[in-house]
Amino acid sequence: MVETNGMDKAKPNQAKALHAAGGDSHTVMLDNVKVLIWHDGEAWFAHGLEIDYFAQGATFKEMKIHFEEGLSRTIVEHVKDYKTIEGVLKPAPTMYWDKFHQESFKGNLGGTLRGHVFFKSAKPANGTPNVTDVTIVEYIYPISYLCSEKLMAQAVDSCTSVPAGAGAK
Amino acid sequence: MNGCSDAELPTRAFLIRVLRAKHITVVEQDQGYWKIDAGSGEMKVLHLPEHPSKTMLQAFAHKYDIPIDHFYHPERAEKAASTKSKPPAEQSAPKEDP
Repeated sequence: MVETNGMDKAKPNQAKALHAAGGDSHTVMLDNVKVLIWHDGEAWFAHGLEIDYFAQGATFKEMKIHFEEGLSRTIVEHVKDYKTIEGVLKPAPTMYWDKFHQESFKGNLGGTLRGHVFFKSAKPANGTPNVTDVTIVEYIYPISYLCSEKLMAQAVDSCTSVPAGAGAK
Repeated sequence: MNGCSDAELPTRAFLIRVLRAKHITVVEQDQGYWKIDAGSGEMKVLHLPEHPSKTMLQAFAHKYDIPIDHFYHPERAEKAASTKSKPPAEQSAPKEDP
């Protein structure tokens, strides 16, 4: 079974979602999901626009982990409970889209997310499916793409995994 | 935002209390992740920090249509919820269609 939620006809820069299932194994792919990323003075915050998913972290790295892990869990729960990822694909309120476009225009933080989630959902004869083997293959924030140097410096300070020179334009 | 100082920012427990007062199901998974289910296919697993930032509270307010001041005064949320959940005979509002 392959579910594309109509996004298979999306333009190159539009978000795409794919859910493929064979037996107990599922693969969910998200591509080109816009993510608004900023530091609000208290914490790092990310808001996925096409999926209305958000996460906070004391550091950039922590926020990224919370976003990836939480989104993966959300996808798994949707497949487990509803057998579809349709409920994941709800757009964020307009104010976040406006902020994304404003910040992108000014060269501040923004990015896109590409992620694959593989997992098995084995349904026992007597009840709730068990989910096993959840594997996040990759999430990519091309943070060098839209980051301002100032905010990028903050991100580098709080995230040791950001490659050197990632803030260069 | 509402004149509250940082010291008055609500905790995760406050946030969960407000969500539950709105009849949103909040169930802990593990490692700080909570499954938040508002029904009708609208469900998310979110990491809820011990001290949600103002930005996160704002995101919850938008997402679940909750006045932002309810996060700072949970009794308002609970009052609103208890008014809603009273049997129709006890409410002053007109009875809804069956």
